[in-house]
Amino acid sequence: MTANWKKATAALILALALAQPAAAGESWRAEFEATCSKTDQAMTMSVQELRDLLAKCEALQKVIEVQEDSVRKVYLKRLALCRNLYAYMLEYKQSDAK
Amino acid sequence: MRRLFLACLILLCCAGVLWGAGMKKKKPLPQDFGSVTINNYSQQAGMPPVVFDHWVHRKNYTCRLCHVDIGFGMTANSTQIHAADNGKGFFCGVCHNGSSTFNKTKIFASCATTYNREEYKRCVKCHALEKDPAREEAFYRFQEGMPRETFGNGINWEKAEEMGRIKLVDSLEGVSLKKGTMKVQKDFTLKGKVEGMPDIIFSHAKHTVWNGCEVCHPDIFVGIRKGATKYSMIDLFDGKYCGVCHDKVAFPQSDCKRCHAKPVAG
Repeated sequence: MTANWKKATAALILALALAQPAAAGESWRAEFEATCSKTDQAMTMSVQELRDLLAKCEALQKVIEVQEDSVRKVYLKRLALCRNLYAYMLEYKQSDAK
Repeated sequence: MRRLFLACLILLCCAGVLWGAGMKKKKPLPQDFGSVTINNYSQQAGMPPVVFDHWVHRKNYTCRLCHVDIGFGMTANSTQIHAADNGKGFFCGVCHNGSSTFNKTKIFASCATTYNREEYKRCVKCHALEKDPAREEAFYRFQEGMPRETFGNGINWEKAEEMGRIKLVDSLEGVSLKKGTMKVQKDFTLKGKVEGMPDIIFSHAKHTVWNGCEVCHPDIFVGIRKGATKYSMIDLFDGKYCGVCHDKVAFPQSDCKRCHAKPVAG
């Protein structure tokens, strides 16, 4: 009974370990979607909201840079487009405040 | 003898002037306007370059869909597409994967890393060895039903959409991000530099509907204050600012009245 319980626990740990990279893979894509889907609202955002999004973009860049070649190429390009727009809008808002 | 020498000298001078001035840039035919030759890796792989027809795609999809959601660059050969990328379902392979459809028609698959004689027929759909008369015929068949304009493709794309002749897809399942409603910026005028030339009316509404914000800002238009960037027609014809798209894919800048549209006072 104990041996079976140990086997079941080990199998569960192994399954969780195997599932983790896949979940991590999904999590950065979800984060990418959450971060870059706001470009159409960039002009109505506050300076702080734009700064937070830029920080998320920086974090995402590090994750995307270690992905395989095709994924890296596509998503770095897509990330650059949304990151640059947020930076542009931030500059605009900050110059507006002066 | 002296006259002959003089005539030869004049002819040589004229030839020199013509050669020095360079050849006049040939105006593309309507069906070729907006065509882009992609040749990063094709010839290395023993294939002809890809000839990409913008008109085939812009009649079905917004610019934003390909240049933002799929990640195509805005200048020829800047995307650095490999056959392997397409094979994994990126770039052309997002739609050209053998299973995607448009209007219930299956879209042909793009690249394969190995191919046989039969499959090669599929390769040359894009990796064109020579002009395909069927493509030309397809263009003229499509053009027949479209509102016309003088320049570029001879098609007024904006009007075509207004009239419902084309219905553009702006989102692809699994690729596009779910976005909220955009607050469109107001149209504004830009002063014409030449006396008597009507001012430019720039419509954010017209541009954002196909491009979103990030196609233009900040890569093409970096200035954050109206009037901070000084535009000149020389820059535009040189492929900067509006010239990134207009002259290459969007209507050419020789169509002055399309932009210089504000009636002159008095």
